[in-house]
Amino acid sequence: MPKTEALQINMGPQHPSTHGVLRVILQVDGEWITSAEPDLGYLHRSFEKLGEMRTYINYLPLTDRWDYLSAMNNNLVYVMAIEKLLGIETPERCQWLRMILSELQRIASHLVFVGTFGLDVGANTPFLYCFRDREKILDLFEEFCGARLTYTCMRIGGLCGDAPDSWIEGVENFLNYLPPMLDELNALLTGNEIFIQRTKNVGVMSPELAISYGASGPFLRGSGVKFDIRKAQPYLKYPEVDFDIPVAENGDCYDRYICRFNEMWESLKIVRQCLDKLPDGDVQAKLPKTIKPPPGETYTCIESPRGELGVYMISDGTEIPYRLKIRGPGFVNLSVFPELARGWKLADVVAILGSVDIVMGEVDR
Amino acid sequence: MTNDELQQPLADSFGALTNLRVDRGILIADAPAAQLPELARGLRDDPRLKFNYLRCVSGVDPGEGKLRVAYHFMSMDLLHQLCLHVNVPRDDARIPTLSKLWGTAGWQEREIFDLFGVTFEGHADLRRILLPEDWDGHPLLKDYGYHAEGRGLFTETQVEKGLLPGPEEEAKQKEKQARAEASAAGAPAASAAPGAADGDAQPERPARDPNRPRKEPRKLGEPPRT
Repeated sequence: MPKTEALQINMGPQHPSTHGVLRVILQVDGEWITSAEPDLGYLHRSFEKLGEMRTYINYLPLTDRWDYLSAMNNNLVYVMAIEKLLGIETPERCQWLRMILSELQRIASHLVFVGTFGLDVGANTPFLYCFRDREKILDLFEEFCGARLTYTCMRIGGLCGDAPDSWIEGVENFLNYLPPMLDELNALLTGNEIFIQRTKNVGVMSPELAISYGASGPFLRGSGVKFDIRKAQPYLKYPEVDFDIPVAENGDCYDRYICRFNEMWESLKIVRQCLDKLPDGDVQAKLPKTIKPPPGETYTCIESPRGELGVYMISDGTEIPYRLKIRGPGFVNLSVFPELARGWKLADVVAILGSVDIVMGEVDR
Repeated sequence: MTNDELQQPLADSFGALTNLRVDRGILIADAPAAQLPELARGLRDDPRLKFNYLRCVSGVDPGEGKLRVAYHFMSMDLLHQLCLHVNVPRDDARIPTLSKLWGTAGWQEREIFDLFGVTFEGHADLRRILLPEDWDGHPLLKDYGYHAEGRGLFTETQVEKGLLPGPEEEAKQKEKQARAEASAAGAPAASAAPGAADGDAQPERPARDPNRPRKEPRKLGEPPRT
């Protein structure tokens, strides 16, 4: 009679499918996972401590580095928290432009997800298609603010500059360019037999488990919970645009993928409406000479591509934040991973981890 | 429910919550550490409140010999939120864990244990999460310092190699700085700007003479004026 024995396997920190430097300590019994334990901290850069050493303005470029695939959203939540502490309103045009930028960023981030998720389960071609299309968005960002990855584009009370007409035209062209590409991507990956076999009914997460573990974003909506901060606690001009929240039912890897894919269509819809409603005017609010928010605290959160990105900021009335806590969606979403991976095969761990869509910069902070 | 509507059921059933206040649109209350799990369970299961989502747990070092943990709750159905502040003495920082009620508290409490040194009683797996296991101290405490020699990466060998200033050298630098400050304070008031400590107070400038002619700006190609 053959005898099996528990075996410990290290996945990572240098492993192509851990999306950065994540180490997962796996206990396997034959091919089956009995326990999976993520080991974090390889990319810890003490962003929260650094926040207590810099002025509000000086910290802004560091926010780009939290979640480097959606730097626009990091900028946005940080400046929104300061604006809330200061009690200032940004001009209309600025808010609409911020919405365009953050939705374009959402598409760019989801394109990376679709590409790398395909790569995780063995589809190499979609990755190249996704990066080709993402390039167009990065070009638009470059035209707007000069940077392609770390933008520092949203400033306290406004933006780094106004959008020129040519840029608006560029966004319009992109809106016409992307849909056929998404259709192609959809035909290439979503209906692929191997892809479906690898992801369908794998890593199923019940809605109760998801809520208990604080899951958010498409990761949560894949389990059938219709919760989106853009609808639940609207910010910017989201109440004035018409869009749906894609929700799936089963809570498996395939459903999480579908939710993200469909969100790209919704983001396109939002950007189109923003362009129609974009008013003329100023993009920068009047600010005091020194940024010294009155004492108090705020918890500000937005719907980033990965979920609820929050900032808990305490001001003591000086020009340096007293405390800056970052609620990273990746960190919180990853905490349910041990529960999801248990009982699946070694190869499924790669698919499950890919479907969580983590960026280690924001998990380790 | 709005914050005003929330206050009534909170006052009815949760008398242990004190000092209810609203800051930037979020209702905040102080909660005693010992009763936290019962309070949280009540908040979650009360049909009027339904705080079913623990969105964020943060540690704060407010000084005055205290440590604080702030819990942000949200109701996914009723879309209202509440923040609980739990203050504990710094030399005996113990709070009962919420990880039995919400899975997400497991990692978020580990993070606070790691960075602040708060012990969460009853936590099944309370270890450091972001820093290495043998790290010394809790970096987000205000008295941790920014340049902590002998901790983690700042090892003695690096000091010996001259890559980083050692403790003696740092003490010397501090002494030097203190001396410089003392001499600056003793110097006549003209050198030390009167409003330097207060960033808002600007030194007074003489009013501009409206009749003084303006200098012509330098034109393109014109050599710089000396």
